Amino acid sequence: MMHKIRWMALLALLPLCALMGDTGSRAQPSGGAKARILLATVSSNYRKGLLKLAGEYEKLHPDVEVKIQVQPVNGYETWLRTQIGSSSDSAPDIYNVNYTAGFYERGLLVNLTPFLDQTNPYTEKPWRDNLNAQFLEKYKTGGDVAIIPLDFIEIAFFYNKSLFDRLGMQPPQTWEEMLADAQKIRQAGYIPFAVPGDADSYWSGTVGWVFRFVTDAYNREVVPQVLSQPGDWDYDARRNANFHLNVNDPYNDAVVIVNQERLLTAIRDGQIRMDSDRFREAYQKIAEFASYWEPGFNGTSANSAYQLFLTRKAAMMLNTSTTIAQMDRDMGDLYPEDRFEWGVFSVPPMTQSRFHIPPFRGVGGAGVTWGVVKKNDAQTRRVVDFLMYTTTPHAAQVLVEEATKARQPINGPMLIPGAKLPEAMAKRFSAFENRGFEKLSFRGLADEQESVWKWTVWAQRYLDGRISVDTCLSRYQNVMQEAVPRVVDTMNYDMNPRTKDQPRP
Amino acid sequence: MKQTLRAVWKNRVSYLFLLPTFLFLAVFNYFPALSGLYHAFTRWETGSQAQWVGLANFQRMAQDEFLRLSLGNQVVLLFASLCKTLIVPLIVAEMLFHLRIPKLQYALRTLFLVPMVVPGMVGTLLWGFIYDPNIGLLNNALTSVGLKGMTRAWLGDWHTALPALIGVGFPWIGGIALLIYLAGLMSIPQDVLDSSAVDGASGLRRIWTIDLPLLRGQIRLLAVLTIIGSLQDFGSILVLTGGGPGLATHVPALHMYFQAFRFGHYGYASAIGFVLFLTILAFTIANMRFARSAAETA
Repeated sequence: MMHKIRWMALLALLPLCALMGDTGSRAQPSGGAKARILLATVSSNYRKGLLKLAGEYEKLHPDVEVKIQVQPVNGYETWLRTQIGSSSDSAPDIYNVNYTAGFYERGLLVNLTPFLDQTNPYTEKPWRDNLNAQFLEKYKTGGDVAIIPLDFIEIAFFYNKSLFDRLGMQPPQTWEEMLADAQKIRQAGYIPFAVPGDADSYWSGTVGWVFRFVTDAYNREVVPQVLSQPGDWDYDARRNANFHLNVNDPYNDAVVIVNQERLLTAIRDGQIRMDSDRFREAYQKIAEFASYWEPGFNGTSANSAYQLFLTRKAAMMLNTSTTIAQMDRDMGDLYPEDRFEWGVFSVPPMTQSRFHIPPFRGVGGAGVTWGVVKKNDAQTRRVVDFLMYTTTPHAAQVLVEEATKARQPINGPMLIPGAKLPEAMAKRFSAFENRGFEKLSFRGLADEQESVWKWTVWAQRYLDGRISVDTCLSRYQNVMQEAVPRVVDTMNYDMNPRTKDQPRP
Repeated sequence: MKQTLRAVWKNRVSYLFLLPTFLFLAVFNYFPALSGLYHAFTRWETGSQAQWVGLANFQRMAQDEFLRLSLGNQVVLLFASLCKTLIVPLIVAEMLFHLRIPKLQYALRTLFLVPMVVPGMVGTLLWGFIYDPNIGLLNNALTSVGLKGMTRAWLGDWHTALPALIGVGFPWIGGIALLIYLAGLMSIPQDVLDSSAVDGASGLRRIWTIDLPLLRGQIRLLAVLTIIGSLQDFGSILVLTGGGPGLATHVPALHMYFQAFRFGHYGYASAIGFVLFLTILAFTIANMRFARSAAETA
């Protein structure tokens, strides 16, 4: 009997031993153990392609195991912050880096700049030759490349063409025409725009995009104030010396460098104020637009808003280029009598304003962006080698083909030269292209999460009609003033634009 | 001491059985709690070492407008939780207890407990679908009976978001609370019930004068559990509203979560957690004292 009890006690201890034995098992391969690369992504559309590439890579490198971990968007950011922020062994090696603003400055990500000129062993060319130069520049952090863009994503208005035809309407050419159309649509008994308005939407969804492209247009003239100047550590004469503001050219400031310390100083010292006349008008225009969104938009999720459009209750929605494939798929799944013709038009320009407002620019950019987590030199070399493999024209084509085969959406054109999209899809994407990119847009202070959340609180109250535009902007001004020291601390800035500041060790 | 050690050695197999549980508790419960207590006095941000800052986090809490605004919501939710947990299951328990057909009583009791097998988060998500302003059950039901004017964005409207959160789980017959009350009612000695019947106490009078005083222990237990649960729980709020719209459903525990896992202010979040712990402790002690003195007075 006693003997049996001892065995049972040992069995009871087994889970504990297993738990303790697992600690740190991934730290370093030794002897015959395989090195492991973990790619943790929310880009589930590329899951099959990534698995295929992982298999191919493992065949080329039998000593390496590549694990592809697809995670839900909800909680991804929190997971990354806890795993990478605490330097956990289970932290991913590669992930969607746009979810963690400030991680490079904190020294948590690898500076990929030195690798760009190394030969990619899978193409026999320098690695940068397989990457999109414009986007590499766009996503530089403090002059360094820590972000590898994979594909392009942008927003535009989707509209119910069948309904537009029935009401005798064409896609609008101006912002004002669009609002007039919205009025007609409402009178016809439909919701003009389906817009999700939950907190996620203000941060990274539709409402956030609206505030970004509107405030970008209203702040084009501010750009010269915050550009890096001769003598600044990040000044590049090729990019900044010949810059002359031309608000009618959407790409006019595409490559010029904004010095972040100058920008923060301008906000701190009140040269850029959220309660200015420009912001007041911008916010009033947004509130006017919001009056055509579905009732109770602040409680509508992205899926619910999409359903409003798909079920013909709403006539228009603002959505990403990724939605093209989703619309094609979902429309095919509807009963024939429920299907409708749909189209896409670019965000039309605003023509009536106290100020000269240039055409709205895009708020998109790279859809999937990879970053490499700093662990140790051997692991960095290994992970960068895998990243080089996944950014070859062959790999990009695999991602497109596997996603298409699996009826998964594709964000937009691949940013790896040589990869081609199916012809019909490429045609649809044209409405999303050639609109330039935002430069100085405001919803919170950049992506600093606390300021974004606090701004969301006041913006939701404003669009809900609970506070006036002046109260909203006055509170927003306070949010920005509070956020500047936090960002300065996070980025380890000394607020002297002449000196390059190093990430905190 | 020697005797104790000898007793432990004699019963070593039993202690060996207990060891894994205690180790897991120490690693996953006690250590994080004590670590949180220490970090409440530090400045600890994502990716940086914790630095001792004394009471700075608590001073920051006093000036935190968003935390202050969330307190009002917490009071409302706490009061609603107490009403939902203490009153509704008690009414159902009394009705079940007084059923004259034992088989029916047993069947109904089982039916009330069956929903407990559904994970809580599934229930929360279902309520999210019910409240959806466009495709939700509630609005569609109201429209189908000609009450379209009453439809709302329940979780997105400033006026209805908090009441909608309170409405989650309707009709609020918590299985555990029901079982505790039923067990309490069943443990009332039959001679007490007979005596009260002889004295003419029946119906509401019996509940008021016999059942409730004898259920004081159960009520006290449920009140303590509800207070702890209500102050700690933010999961359903996070899933359904994220604290919005604006701050309409924001609560201190959610504020703590945002500070830690969204903004990376682990030190400040630990301080909020510490104050929440003290609040729960104070409520629990006050509740125990109040209940005891009430019993002594009676």
